[in-house]
Amino acid sequence: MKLEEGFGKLDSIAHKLESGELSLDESISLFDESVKITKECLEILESGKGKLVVIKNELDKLIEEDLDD
Amino acid sequence: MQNKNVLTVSQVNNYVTAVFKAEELLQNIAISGEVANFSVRGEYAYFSIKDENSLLSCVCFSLKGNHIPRDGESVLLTGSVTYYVKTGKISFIVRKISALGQGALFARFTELKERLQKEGIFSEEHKKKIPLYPMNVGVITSKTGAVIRDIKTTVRKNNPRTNISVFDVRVQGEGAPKEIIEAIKLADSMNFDVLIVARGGGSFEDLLPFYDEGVTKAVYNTVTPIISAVGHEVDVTFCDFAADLRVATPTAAGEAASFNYADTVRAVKKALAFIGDSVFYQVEEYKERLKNALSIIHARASTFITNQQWKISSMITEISNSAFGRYEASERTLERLTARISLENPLNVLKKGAFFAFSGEKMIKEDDVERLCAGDKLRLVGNKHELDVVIENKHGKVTK
Repeated sequence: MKLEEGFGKLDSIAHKLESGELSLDESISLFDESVKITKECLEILESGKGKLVVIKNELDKLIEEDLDD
Repeated sequence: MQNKNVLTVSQVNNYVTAVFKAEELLQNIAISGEVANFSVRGEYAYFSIKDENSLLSCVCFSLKGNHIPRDGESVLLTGSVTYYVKTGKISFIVRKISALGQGALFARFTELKERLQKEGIFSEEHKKKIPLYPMNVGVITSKTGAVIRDIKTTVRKNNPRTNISVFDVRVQGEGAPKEIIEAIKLADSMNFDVLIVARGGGSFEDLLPFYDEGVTKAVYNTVTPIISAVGHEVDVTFCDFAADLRVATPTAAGEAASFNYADTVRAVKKALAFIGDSVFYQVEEYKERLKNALSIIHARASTFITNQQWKISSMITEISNSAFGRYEASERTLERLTARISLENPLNVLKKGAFFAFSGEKMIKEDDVERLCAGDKLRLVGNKHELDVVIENKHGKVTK
């Protein structure tokens, strides 16, 4: 799943919940789904951010070493 | 003549005088020849007149109105040959001296000079350079006399280290040319730095060997540079013309054949010191320039590199910031969405202290109430507690 896709699904869940026309069961199951999607989105964000941090640290180290020479 | 009588010297001389006076061929005659050894004492002039083979002593008792000749000059003399009783010598008593232009000997010398000139014996382009720093000098001259002394004194004064070899020769008279030629040839074979052929002043006759064709050519033919110092200032012999350098005096020859040792050593030392200094300074200067150039290059290069590094690092910062920015924006979007959803979370009511009612496993909703009766058992599920309750009665909602 892509982040934007997850965001789209969450947005539509929020809309449905906000409409107030849902049964409790429906809203609970939608809520349940939203938790799963959020989790996935967070995972995507965290792993991407982690990669970025690693790359940035490596670059910073490289530049610092060069400047010290 | 009375053979049997013993005569006195005076008688003989008087008789000879009488014979001379009686002989017309000896009276009032004219003689042509070259003047030699002309000297004047008081009113009288003494000299000789000569040709190639013969010489006659002359006395002139009055020079008034007469041509005064130079040695070597051809003249016409008129007078008488007399026999001088007191000394028993024959003289030509000169009444009249007339210039006769070039004498025969002189003419021969002129002809020889022209020939030598044509042969290139005197030519400037043939002349060798006298070395600047001669150490070995060969001198062809008479061993005795002032000439060799003057040369030695001058050379030694300039440079006591100079080696001087003397080739002793006769410098006048018959046989002199042969000796001089042989000495020149010998000396020339001995690897001297310079040769000197020298003779002091003298009459034209005295200097004759140095007009000799053989001597002149020997001087011309030397491999060693040769200096000629013959006669006085006014005499310039063929030997002088043929030599590589002609000087007027023995002292001048000594000067030309030597160098001032002390001055030269000083000059060389000074020059060496100067060269050493200037080379040293030049090397130092180049080193300094090289250092400067290197430091400029290094400074520029490192500035350039630093600039590039700053550019790269700021680009990276920009890129990573925008990448992080993207994630942060995504995180905020996610936060907003989850906030919206959690606002609608049906379970939120429980947190506020409400209870859900269950009949068995089924949650009771508003629509299910019709099917419930008094006495039915329900379970109320709250946030922290569950209650089992019984319905007492059923009625519509009471609005306040």
